[in-house]
Amino acid sequence: MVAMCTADSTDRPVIRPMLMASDDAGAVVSLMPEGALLLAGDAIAIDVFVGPGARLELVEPAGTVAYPMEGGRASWEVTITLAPAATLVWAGEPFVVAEGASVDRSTRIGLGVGAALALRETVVLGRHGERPGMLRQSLDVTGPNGVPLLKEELDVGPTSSRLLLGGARALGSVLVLGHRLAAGVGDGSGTRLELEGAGTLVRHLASDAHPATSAAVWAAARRAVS
Amino acid sequence: MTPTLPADLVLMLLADARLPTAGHTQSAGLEPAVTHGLQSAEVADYIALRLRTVTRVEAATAVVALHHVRQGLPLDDVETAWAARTPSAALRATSRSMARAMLRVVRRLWPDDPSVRALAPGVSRAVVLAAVADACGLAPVALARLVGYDDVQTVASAALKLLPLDPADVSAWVLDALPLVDRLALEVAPLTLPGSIPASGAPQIEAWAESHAATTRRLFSA
Repeated sequence: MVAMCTADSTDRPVIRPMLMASDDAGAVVSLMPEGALLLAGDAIAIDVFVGPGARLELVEPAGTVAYPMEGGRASWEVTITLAPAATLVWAGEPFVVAEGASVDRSTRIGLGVGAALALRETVVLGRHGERPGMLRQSLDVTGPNGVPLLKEELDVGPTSSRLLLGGARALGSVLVLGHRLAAGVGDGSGTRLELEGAGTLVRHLASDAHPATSAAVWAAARRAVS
Repeated sequence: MTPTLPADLVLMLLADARLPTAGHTQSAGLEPAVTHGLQSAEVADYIALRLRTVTRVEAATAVVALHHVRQGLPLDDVETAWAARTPSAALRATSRSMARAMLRVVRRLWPDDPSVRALAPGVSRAVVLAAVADACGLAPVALARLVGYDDVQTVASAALKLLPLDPADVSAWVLDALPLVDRLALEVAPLTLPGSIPASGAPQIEAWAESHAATTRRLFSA
């Protein structure tokens, strides 16, 4: 496993991977920011590689806030590579794009044969009482031999159509790849999207971060890849 | 190919709602949107949002599929790229069911065309439209305009059944959307690679599509 995180300039804080636990079943690593993130000019790159048959769990001690950037912008790029039969469980905390922030957030995932992923994300547009910041988000998932499994781009900002997110301020998602979520999970509370390949995406559009994250769906996602 | 027919006449035929391709069963997602509170004043915004998101994906897929048909490249990669960009199983199922209805008609209209004959069962609507475009000698930009225009008119005609609107007002919204259709068509027309197909998602439209697929209280199938 490697997780490497850097900011653009040397005087900006980095995100440091800290090993929390490790045994035969796998490792738990916490992604610890060493200072205030995310400011204009920050370019975060998080590379995660899980080796053949290995299991990694990533946790975050707190959410991330992209602060107002006064015309500047910041980027947050995640690259996940899962070797054959590798498993990654990543319980992301809310990512808040404050009014006046402008963030490019990209996630690229490559799965080897038999690899599995459970990924939780919550994006919140604006702090309480604020208008949304600008977010350009992309998700690009490929399976063995580079076959595309899921590709999605989302551009949201203060002038976006209300119909894009139905007026929601928070978009929560739980993505399971390599397996499908058990029948019935996510029905009723959120939107369950059954991918063409092996995978399920459950989304919650909500007014706030808390209702956008479903503990039951996340628990089912963890079970699906265990 | 039927090269003796002018392209604009063929386009009229393909864009005509009287072509028996079950277009009247479709609302392009407007029905669940209205069920969930979309107002008459938001229909034009809804049309524009689709042209920037799900319809953009479909138009680009059709253009790339047309390139593959004309170059003799396999269509599987195009279908897979489209499916990866269409996370909603309900939207994929709708596209494939519309493709089946269209295929029945086009097999009757162009029975000897090799692109039409080569279509595998279960492909998406964009791929069937690409084969039809090849059969008729349509340019990529014309195919993309067809996809965009058809989506706008599908929303517009469904709007008249779902909301108390003046048909002339709705026609004006269609006219207003034509520059958006043209912009979309010009943007996607040069695309040739499956990986270059845009992936612009619309989370609320996808959520409405899924909820609509699970209900029996509806006028339109999607």
